[in-house]
Amino acid sequence: MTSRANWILAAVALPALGWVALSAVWLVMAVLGVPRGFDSRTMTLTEASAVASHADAALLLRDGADPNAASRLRAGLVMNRETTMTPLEAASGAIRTGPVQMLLDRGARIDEGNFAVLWCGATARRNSDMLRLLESRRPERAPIDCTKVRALW
Amino acid sequence: MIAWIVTAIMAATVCYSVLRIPLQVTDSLIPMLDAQRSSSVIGAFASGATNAGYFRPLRAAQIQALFELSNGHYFAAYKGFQAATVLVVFALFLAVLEVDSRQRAAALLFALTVLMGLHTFRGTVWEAYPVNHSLEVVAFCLLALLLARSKAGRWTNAGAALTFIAATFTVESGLLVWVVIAAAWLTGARGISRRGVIVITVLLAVYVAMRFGYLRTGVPALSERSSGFGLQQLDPAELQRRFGAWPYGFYAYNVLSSMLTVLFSEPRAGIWTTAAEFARGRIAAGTIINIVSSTVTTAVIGWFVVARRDAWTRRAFERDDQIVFVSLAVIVANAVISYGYTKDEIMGPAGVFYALAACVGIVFVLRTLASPKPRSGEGGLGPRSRLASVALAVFMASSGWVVRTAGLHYQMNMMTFYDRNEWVYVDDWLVRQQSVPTTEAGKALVHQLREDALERAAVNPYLLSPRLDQWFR
Repeated sequence: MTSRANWILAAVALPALGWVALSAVWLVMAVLGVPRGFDSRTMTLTEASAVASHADAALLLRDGADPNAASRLRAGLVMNRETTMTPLEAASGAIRTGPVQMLLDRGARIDEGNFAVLWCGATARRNSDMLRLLESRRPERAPIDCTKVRALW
Repeated sequence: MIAWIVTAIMAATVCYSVLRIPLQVTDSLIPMLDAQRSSSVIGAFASGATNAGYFRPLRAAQIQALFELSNGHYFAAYKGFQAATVLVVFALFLAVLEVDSRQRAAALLFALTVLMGLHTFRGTVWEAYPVNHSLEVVAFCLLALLLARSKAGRWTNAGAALTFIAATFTVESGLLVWVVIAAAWLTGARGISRRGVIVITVLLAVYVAMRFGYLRTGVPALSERSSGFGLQQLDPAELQRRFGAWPYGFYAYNVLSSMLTVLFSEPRAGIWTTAAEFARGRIAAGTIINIVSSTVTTAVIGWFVVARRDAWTRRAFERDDQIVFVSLAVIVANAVISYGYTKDEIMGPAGVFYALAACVGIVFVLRTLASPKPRSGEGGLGPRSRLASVALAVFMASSGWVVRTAGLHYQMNMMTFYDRNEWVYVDDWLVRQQSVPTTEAGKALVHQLREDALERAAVNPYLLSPRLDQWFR
């Protein structure tokens, strides 16, 4: 075969060949259970709320997770760095509609202590679903100045 | 041997992703509840033959048989069957292409990424109803082509007839098996004899008469489901309002859209995504990758067809001509029988045959560009710059298809994510569907499936990166 034939052959086959090699590695890693970092079962209730993983939130709540407790929120989901938040705060700061109703049904509280933080977080994210829900549970009608409220990020 | 290893690895990745997706709530749960109530496989077969709008007795019988054989291990039974079908499809795909040279091996690699990366394959492979009949039809069509191009034997005709019956009794798109057989016969493939083709054509006539005459199952109505049109999705009421009086223009749009989506990845499910995304202010990188890779690949196939037009006119079909001719016939026929509505997954068989044609096109390009002198009737590329341009275009397309193949797995992870979430609210869904089980056995089945889905390991796509969906469209 000529060298120019080999070049063309490489142009056709190399990308796919690379993918096959990657696939083989992926399958071996899957059998070995690596990496676990992307497995949704490694999430906290706060993270499950941030990424709208209703299934994982349901499992965590079933297993006794506290819907009002602050827990880890890994980097990249709502903020660029890892932090700690409550599930409702994460749901407010996320752009996806999370399992907020499920959290409320299981005892998550929206009250004077956290309303302004949630409201301002959802406003900053333009999370209209969360804003609608918060509006229906507003503890007082006084205007909220978000510049004076603890920011979620 | 290398071709089989490569194909097996690719198939294994698809099986892996399939096995991570839970049995879905929509389309799976109610058939399984029906199977629990049904008394026998024969009863399910009879019921599947008389459903309004559909004639799918073998599908119902399969669901019933697997339910009964599962012994309570429903996921293992249905998903195991689905994974086995994936393996069969990949094996048949490879067998049809007859990889016997380095050029064909390289083209196979390309074709496998086309097969997996094309958006029509996604819907074909990922869903379980709970038996994936779309994938079965693909297997039947590939088997029919293999039989048609095999050496004629005593059992070939019988096998082809059985394949046709099994396909048409599974789902309506099984009619494509006849298209494969007829088109292959027109190109001189004589694995199935003239008598065999006539018998299968008679079976086709019997099917049509039985379905529309005797059983009167009719065709799905315009008001049954949503469909894409222009830049948006129209719900059944809107479809009825716009096209109820004269639906033929809408049907023509669907046929054209279905063909174009296979050849150019636009429109998607009847919606022109490039225009729609542009109107929203940003065209996703994935959309551009899809269109470029598909267009280059279609151009390659078109180049082959143009180069071989004289031979085709003389009806001097070679092995690769047969594959491309049959593939084009399947793409057209698949689009025609999908006239009622547009959906990416119903063009699944066409997408698989497009990948076969792509393989042939790439082999042709490799041979043409590798030969120092133009082959008769194939044209030739002299200047190095033209050679480099084509090589670059093919490399871009090949890379694009790899991205799309990765996208298949990403989207299947998304499906896993959504399907698990659906199970959380299964009780509400059953109420809306007016299908709440009334027996203890029915409630236990729902509970078992729900727990199974929720406990299953799943990669959360948002943990990978929330921006990946821009690349994988």
